[in-house]
Amino acid sequence: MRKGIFLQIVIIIIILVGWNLLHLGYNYQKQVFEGKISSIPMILFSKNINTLDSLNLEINRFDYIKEIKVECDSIVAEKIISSYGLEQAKTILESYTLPCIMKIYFKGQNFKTQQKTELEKLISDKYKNIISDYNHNLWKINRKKIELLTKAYYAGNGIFIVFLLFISVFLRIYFEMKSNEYWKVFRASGGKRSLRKKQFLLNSFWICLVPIILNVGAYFIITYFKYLNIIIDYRLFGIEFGTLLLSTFITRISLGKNI
Amino acid sequence: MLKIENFALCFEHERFMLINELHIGSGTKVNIFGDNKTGKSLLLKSIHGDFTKFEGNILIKEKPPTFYKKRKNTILIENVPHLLLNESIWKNIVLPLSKISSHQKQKIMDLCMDADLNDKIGERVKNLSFSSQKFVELIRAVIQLPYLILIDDIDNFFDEKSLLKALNICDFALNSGATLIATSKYKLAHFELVYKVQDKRVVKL
Repeated sequence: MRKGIFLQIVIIIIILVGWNLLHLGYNYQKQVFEGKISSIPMILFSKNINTLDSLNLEINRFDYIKEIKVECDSIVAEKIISSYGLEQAKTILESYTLPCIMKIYFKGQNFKTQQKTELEKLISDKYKNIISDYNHNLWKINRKKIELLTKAYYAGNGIFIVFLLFISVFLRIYFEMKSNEYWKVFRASGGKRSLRKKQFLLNSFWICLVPIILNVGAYFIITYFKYLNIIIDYRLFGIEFGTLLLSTFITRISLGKNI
Repeated sequence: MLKIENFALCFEHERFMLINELHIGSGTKVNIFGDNKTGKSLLLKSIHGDFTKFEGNILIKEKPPTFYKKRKNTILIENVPHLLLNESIWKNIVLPLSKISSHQKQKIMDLCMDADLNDKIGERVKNLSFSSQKFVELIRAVIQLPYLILIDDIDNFFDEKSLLKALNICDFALNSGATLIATSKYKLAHFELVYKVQDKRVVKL
């Protein structure tokens, strides 16, 4: 009996570790793709610095804006001179009026299609004299990858839920049926009739709580000592716990009067 | 302790095992004997609360058997042994006990000695004879001090010598107020009250 409970706990721990690796893998890969989106700036050109400042004021409150850099013509000229070694052309360059530049860096996780369209519409409607340059293709590729990854992640979660339910319900019913003979003798011998129900609840308590506590504990220790920078939403552990509770509920209904 | 009134078993419109009135006090040994298929086993099951399709009333300490559904205060020893065959005698005896006091431990050892099981206490039950297995069940029942100990077909597993030992073991519970009701095919000695199933009626001898 105790061996059976121990075996069930071990198997559930292994499945939950696999499930948490899925969360970690998803978050890691998503961060990579979002990092790529964050690294592509949108460059806006305007001859009037006031226009860019006004735009800056309007958009810097948006949650998908990571950083905004505005550079006026003199700084731009200096940068071009120092970058390309055009010291001799300094006087020529200074005689030209170069446009001001605004570089907008986005938060990859928030800069989605809706936000991108909104920003583009805002610029095209209100700031018509601004010329923008953005690598739309790279953004599109990475967003597509994130979409596919998310779909795969949801499918993975579904598979883990079904797998965990199937394994835990099957094992639970198997071990409960195996102990039927024991309880039959126990009842016939004059033992307390409600004890089996209590024992079932107690076993459910261990089977549901021990694997979750060990998994959350391990994750907490790993992140606390900074062995891992990827964050798992704690609510996901709640879903795992909920799945185990559901399996207990299904087992109880399936066993019916056997308990 | 036990009151049975206007009791009858019905099967295919036939009434049998008719009992008008039967009152049994505490600490009494009762033998009900009769031929096979007269309803002795069903009577015991009815008293135990496992069989409810009967006419009349059964009251144990003024309460119907269903009152004791959650915590049985009657123990029925049937022909089929209810034992964990791969476990030891000791484990089988203490199985229903949540806690065992030192007094109970000593008493179990004494009762095992009476049943000649004291040197086999750690042995697996499957290695015992049928009669010894029944002794294990009997000791397990007696140690719990139930209201009623019901033994079906006692003469099937105890010969006269073993029966004396078994009744001696039962005395421990009987002295604490329990009642023993044993059925058999033939009339048995050493019982204070003897009933015979005759012409579908239970008659006191």
